[in-house]
Amino acid sequence: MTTQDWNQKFDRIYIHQSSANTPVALRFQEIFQNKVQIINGNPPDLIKGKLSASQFLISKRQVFLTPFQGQFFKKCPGFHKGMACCNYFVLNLGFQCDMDCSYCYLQSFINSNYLTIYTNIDDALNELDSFESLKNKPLRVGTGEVIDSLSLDPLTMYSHDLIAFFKKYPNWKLEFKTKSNYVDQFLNQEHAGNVIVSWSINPPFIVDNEEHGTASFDERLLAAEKCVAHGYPISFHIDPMIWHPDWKVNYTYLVEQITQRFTPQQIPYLSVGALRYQPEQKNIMRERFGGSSLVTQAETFLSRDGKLRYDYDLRTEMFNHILNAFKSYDPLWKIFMCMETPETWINTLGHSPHREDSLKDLFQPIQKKMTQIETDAIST
Amino acid sequence: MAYSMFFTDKWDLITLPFKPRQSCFSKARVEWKGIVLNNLDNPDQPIIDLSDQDIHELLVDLFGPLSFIELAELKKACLEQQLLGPEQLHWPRLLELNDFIGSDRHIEILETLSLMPSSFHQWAFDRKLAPQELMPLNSLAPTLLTSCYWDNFLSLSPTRSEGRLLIDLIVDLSLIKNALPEQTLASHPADWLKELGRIRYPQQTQRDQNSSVPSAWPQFAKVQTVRQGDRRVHKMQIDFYDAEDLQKKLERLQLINAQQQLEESEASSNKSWQ
Repeated sequence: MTTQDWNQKFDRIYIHQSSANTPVALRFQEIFQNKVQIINGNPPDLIKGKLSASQFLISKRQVFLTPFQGQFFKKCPGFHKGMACCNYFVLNLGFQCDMDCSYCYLQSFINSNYLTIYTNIDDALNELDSFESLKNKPLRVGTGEVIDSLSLDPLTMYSHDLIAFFKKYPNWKLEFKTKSNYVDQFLNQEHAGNVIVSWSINPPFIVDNEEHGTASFDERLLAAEKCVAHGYPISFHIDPMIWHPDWKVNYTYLVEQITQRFTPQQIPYLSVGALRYQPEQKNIMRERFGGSSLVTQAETFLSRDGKLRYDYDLRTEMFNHILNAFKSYDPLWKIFMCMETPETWINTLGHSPHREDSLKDLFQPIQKKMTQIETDAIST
Repeated sequence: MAYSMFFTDKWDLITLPFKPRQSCFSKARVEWKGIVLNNLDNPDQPIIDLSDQDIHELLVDLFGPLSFIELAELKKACLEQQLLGPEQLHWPRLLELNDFIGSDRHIEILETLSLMPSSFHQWAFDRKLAPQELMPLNSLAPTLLTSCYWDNFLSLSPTRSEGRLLIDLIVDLSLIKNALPEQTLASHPADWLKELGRIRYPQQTQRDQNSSVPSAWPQFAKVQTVRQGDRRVHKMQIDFYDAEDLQKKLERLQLINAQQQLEESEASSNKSWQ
């Protein structure tokens, strides 16, 4: 992306005075120049609360750089009772995404009309440093929960700080989860082999129709190949799978592409998940995408966890299709299901993830081993 | 709030065509900057000029807390008569004074509702629908908001939950090209829900219809397949004469169940990827 491209992406940038001299703020000032305003406090038109469809769109085009005052390190939302959990923790270094997928849960989650980037990454890393008893545990940390891990990385360059930090903790794994192809900026960084670069991926038909403003299917695979060439483990999250008349053909193509271009040794695990969303998200999706999206057309029903999902049997059929397709190429592919009920696991794999040899590492409960202080801190 | 009252005898006042569904607190007509806020039936009532008051607080004092539907009717009156524009009436504040969130989303629903027939307002008011339940209407094309489709809806007098589900289906189908039927012959909301559900979920309806109830069940067990959220479940009904009869039937069911479990475990052990 050139400076001009970045300038077309964002209309205005506010930087909190206390952050003005941070490396990330200085880079923004250099690139966006007259679009930048240094302020003491919040942006003048800051909205706190549920956004309308038009406000949501605006929130992707204006940026606020500010220090974050709360807890950076949190449990993945998949920790809900009744869901099989893969011990994933999230480190939020910002809030809102510059891309625009029709199914994105941020549509009903975002409560600010600014894409916010936290400038105090040092505080975030200090917080991680403070979790003494977790240092030898197989912790998995991701930065792509409420903001894409890499789509703004050429601006923030946070990948450099994170890769250097995780070199100190070889038992921990850091996951960059993205739908962009921005990897060049960190490829030459020295790493400990514990930084997994992962792509949320769907067949080209879904990428083109539902994942607006993201890198194309081929661009993502090319970026993944670059990472492999530089020794980074990679992963793919085939999530959310979206039903459409040609879903079997299109998802088979996706599996073919991954299996032809990568080996199970280069990809420690893959995950699959099917379309799911909170009922209130349906309203803003309908307002924004009408009836033309496969997501608003989807035949979804209320699931036990309160989310709208495809029929249980259809989900199982979709997961089976992916699992069988991968295993038909090589039984060594490790695949797990994201945010699914134990019943779905049992129906698909024949048993719970805790009993699947290839996935034991991911699903082994580590919470009981933590000190109470850390458990409390993480759960807030 | 205590007001200093100034009675006026102006003749060039405009009356806001709005009446709350509960009675108005004031017996006198209240003027605010040339607008009579309370549309009393008796035009001979004296007029009090309270133009120096804050309009938002004045409206709350005059009408009491308004329901969401009443606020939509107030919005409609303001829009139709081009009175109390945004420079005078700040809707987020008025919403908050009436115990609603003053968000753009809520204001959009008020505007949507203001286009809908008053008979729909009456139904939504009677059924106490929350803003969240009315939010799907924001996606409807204006022509559908004003269409006689709602006569059909109201003639069936749906309950709150039936209405909520019907609105969701109507909105979904209106967005999918040519999917919304022009009218229904259903005489009960539940029938209409089934009818619209079949159109909205064609794939799933077909899958549900094709799903076979295990045929091994004995005749005394009436087994029916129904949808519960994202799962298809089988409901079994057993009639029995006495305890002995029940015991016999349960034993027979246990035997069949054990046989089915054995078949299932054999099938699952054949799964190829393990």
